Amino acid sequence: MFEKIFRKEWKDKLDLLIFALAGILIYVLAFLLLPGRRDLVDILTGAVTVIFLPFVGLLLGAGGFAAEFKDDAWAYLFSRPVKRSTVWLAKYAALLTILAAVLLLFAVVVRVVPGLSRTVADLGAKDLSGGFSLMSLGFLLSWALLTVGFSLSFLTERQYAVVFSSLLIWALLEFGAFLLWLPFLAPLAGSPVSAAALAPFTILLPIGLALASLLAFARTDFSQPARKVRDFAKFGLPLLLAALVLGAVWSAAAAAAGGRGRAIYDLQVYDSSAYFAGRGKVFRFDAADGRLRTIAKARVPLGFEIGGGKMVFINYAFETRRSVSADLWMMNTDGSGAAPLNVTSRKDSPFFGRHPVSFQISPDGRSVVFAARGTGKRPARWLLGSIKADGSGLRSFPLDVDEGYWIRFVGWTAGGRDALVFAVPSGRSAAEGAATRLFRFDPETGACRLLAEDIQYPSGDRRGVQRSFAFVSRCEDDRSTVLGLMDVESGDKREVVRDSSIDWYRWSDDGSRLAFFAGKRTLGIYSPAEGRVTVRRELEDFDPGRLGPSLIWVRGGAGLAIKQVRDGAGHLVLLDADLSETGALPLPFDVDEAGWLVGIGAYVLVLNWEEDQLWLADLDAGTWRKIY
Amino acid sequence: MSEVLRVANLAKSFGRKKVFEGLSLSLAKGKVHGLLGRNGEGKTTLIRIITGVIPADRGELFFDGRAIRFGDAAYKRAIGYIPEDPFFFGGMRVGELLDFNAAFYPRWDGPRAEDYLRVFGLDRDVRVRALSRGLKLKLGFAAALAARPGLLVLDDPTSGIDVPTRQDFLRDIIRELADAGTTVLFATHMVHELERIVEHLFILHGGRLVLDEDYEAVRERHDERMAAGGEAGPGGLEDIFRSFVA
Amino acid sequence: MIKVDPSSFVPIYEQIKAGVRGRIAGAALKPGDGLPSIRDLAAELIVNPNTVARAYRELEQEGIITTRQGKGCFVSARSESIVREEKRAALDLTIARAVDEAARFGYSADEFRLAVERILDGRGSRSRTRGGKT
Repeated sequence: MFEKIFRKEWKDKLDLLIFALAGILIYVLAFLLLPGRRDLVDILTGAVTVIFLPFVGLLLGAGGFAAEFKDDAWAYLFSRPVKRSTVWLAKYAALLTILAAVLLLFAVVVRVVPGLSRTVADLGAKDLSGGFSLMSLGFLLSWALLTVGFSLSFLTERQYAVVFSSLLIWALLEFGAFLLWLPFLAPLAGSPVSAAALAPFTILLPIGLALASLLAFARTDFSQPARKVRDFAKFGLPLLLAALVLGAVWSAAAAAAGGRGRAIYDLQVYDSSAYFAGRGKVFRFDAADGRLRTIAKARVPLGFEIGGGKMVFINYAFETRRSVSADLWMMNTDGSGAAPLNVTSRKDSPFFGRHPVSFQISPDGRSVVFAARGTGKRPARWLLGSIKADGSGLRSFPLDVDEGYWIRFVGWTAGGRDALVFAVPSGRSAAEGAATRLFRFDPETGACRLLAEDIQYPSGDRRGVQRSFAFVSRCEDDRSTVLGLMDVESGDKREVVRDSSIDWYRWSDDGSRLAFFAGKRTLGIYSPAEGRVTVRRELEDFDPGRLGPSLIWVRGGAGLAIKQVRDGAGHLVLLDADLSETGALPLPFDVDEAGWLVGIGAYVLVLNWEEDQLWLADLDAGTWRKIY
Repeated sequence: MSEVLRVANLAKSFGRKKVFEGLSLSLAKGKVHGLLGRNGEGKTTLIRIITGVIPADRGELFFDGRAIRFGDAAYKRAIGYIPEDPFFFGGMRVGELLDFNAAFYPRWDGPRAEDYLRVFGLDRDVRVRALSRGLKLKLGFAAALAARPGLLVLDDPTSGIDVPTRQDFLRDIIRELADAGTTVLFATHMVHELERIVEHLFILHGGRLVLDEDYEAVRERHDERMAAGGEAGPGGLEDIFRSFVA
Repeated sequence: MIKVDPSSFVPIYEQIKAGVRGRIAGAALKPGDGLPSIRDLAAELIVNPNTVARAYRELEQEGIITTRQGKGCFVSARSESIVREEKRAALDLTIARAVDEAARFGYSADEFRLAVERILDGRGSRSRTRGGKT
């Protein structure tokens, strides 16, 4: 009996299945026929995963009882010796399997069509959805909407009404849950609530509706629409309430347990130790003994800076359920002596209520400079400030830069007197023609002098004292890119190398050499003292995998390591001072998952940003070890 | 005489409209019961309650002495139901519909179903919605009777059907009665065909059963009254019916 | 052919019985002849098989038909005589009524006999020309 109804449902919904398959086919064709238009394909991918597939689910569900409404066929079906619950379950099972077939096919297609999986994963937007890949989000939505639609489909034969009310009810429930629990969940999670916090609701609310539907369906008078709605509501309200409560408990538990996240924030090397933060703690890896230590526990250690034997980090504190404050804390690099600097938490501070966005410690470790911006409705003016390590001497200076800019500290001038400040325009401002700016800032007087304009943001480079500031800028005339050095005091600039692109560059630890990789094939080392490129090598057919931070100095400057794809797998290629290859270490995971690279002593640390892991390569032994 | 079905104190309302209240009747085994009533007076509602399609607001249902709750499906195995204008699932083919039904009834007689198809001239591959009214009726009959029901319930299946087809249909029912002694509940507002085969008569009017008696007794009484009153009408069920619902 | 009229005052089973009797009387059914099965007769007449069954049952009780297990219903040997007996009784009854009626009008017995002959002549009865005595 179950089987008969199951099969009948499949036959009835065959046309929807074909519609879904056609949609997937069109998507694949678009992908194959538009190799150059990645942007279009990205939009299409998002649309297919998060709009089309859930829509298919919704249509499948909403049409659940359509055949029975036609010509009152329900009276005939219900006069058969079959339990109502069997009918409901058989139909639901059939719809689920149809959806599963569609989703499975989509997953297979994504895997099989070359390049497609990368595109889909690219749009993972992990940070946005809190660890969910786009595909799993789309799949979850598809199931949820199918279930909601099916739960409502027995109420009326007007399918459009079912579709609309399903969407409306589902959206209301989800947002209701979100708004309801946001003030409670955020403190537990220790961070602004992500979409992952909604996942328990997205799972439990449709289940609640489905149970209500099943119970009402088995007991109600199918010929009376008003009564069906009443009976459905009778079961639905308490079940939804239960789902909300359960969802809250689940969400809260998940938030408390993993809210701090495994994600690794920042990875910096200082004095032959590597520091990184994750899982509510700050860790230090010492190259001397090869051990990992926990040196601090912070609620949400997002970002830290090290200098002068000290570490400064931001700590979030929840005053009330809704207000979060972020303040700077300072401690020794062994974790002792942690104390707040009370920059933003003191009521009389000009920074009260603001968030410190970027900061750095003076080379002697005696003071900290920082940039903070107001949040919320306050005008988003930037304030630069400085404070002594003991918490005294707080000063603030406004920065004359448009609202659309983002501020980052990128180093100190010689002697550690002035700080180097980089201003990056936001997307919109950049589109309007705003340029990047590099300033030097005197924390005593607050004087700000423009040093350079329109240069690339120096990501991944060292932050200490810079006599020569390495910069990359684009020459519009001949479309070439230049890597140059600028004397911070005099402002003189000289060119290091010019090529179609400057892909990576890295100062050696002692600042005596600058390694670079340009034009996707030229590797070179420049010596500022000699004023020339001392060694250069062309790499044939070099495939760096996806470009990311991939060039580092190893063994204290004795050699380089570079990330490369060979034989289809990612490798860490080791080179000596003459840029000849000394070895190649295969990466322990997919090259696309590799993030930061950091070299300390005879080790290299590699971040797997996909799995939030940190792997240690022992260059002497040629082995890998997962340390986090 | 054993009781196949009994309803006790049945009440049903649709919103504010009360269809019936305190309705009780029983069906005797092997007899043909007629349920007469004007359109909209609750015949279909009563039958839907008996066949478990919709629930009653109040009251109880007993089948073969066993109390039946709404949602109980097992007792329906012994009931054959031929509804008014049975569309079933229009998109199905004749053969598919029979196979669909076969899965629900443990006593399904496949060869018999095939016989019916042959005798009625029904093509297995034709879609149900493409059948004429008369053929749909025959299909409904075949599907109901191939399940070898103990109780056959018909809800005005012959309205809108031409007389010869109705007579054929009646003959088929009669043959079935002669062979199996099935209990029948035949609801209709067209009395002509009922007249020839009814043994026990129910008349539903104004939300109550205004008549619940063996047909012969009713007939005798009615005829006597007519004779005494000097009326020389055609008599018969039509007359009887009118006398109760007037 | 037996015919039934459901709307008539006469119950259907009585009509069936009368129909069977009539056929026996008219020599359409002779002793030993088989009657249609309940199923077939019910289908032919479009009546409830129980009704046919009842008619057959009562006919059997009256001795008109006999049932042989597994073989069906047959006209009994005695049926003719019974039916004839009944016919004669019916005829006697009719004539007795006519005589009473005539007496009421003042006719004598002889006038009654003459009237009967006259009417029979008028009907072209061949019983007289066949060598009947006057």
